[in-house]
Amino acid sequence: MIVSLARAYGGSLCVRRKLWSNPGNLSDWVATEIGISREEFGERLHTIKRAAGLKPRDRVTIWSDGDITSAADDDDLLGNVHDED
Amino acid sequence: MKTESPTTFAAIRFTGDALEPQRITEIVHTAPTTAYRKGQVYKRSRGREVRGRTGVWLLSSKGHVQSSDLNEHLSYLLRILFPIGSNDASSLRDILRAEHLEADVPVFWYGPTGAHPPMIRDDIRAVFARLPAQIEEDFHEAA
Repeated sequence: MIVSLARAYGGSLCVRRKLWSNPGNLSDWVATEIGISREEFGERLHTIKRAAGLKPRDRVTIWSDGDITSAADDDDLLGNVHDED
Repeated sequence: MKTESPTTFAAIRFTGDALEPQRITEIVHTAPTTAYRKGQVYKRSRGREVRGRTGVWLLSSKGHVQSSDLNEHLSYLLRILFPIGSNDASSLRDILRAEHLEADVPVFWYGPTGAHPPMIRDDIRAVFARLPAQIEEDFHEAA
């Protein structure tokens, strides 16, 4: 319920929002939303996918708190870009 | 932080549900950067726990090679897989076949605006193809 409300109000209750789960190259704003440079974001996402056994072109879901989950399962955590510095 | 020179690194990775990381370590005589069995909980950089979806053994050139030339990173991995005087990858090929494992080579490159993505040398591609291990490119250019 809280999560639904937060999402309805654009995540203003500091609950994480789904930023990206599309195929193809990420837009710059995804890295901006998370608060790191595009270069760092690309490098960290590569490292997380690589460690999870995924290929660069495999889809994942990116959350506003930096969590990266499987594209097929929001609860299947692969890592968090803030952990990879 | 943006960099003026490209950021690049490469890894050799073995994956599969039946993968036993220790067996790969024994063959290549090198400790992996990351390794776990399917279903095993492994830790990311800050201790966050993640459950392995399949078995993984990977060795990254990051931290071992300082060059911005991707081919030098790939050459480092080849020196691990094929030490001087050894042209034989039969032990690795045997375990890949017997355990139904896959090998690949994820490579990362991020270059400044206008930089040309790297060209991977044909002789390097050919050696990885002998495992076989496909090179998986993840190339980006600054906007």
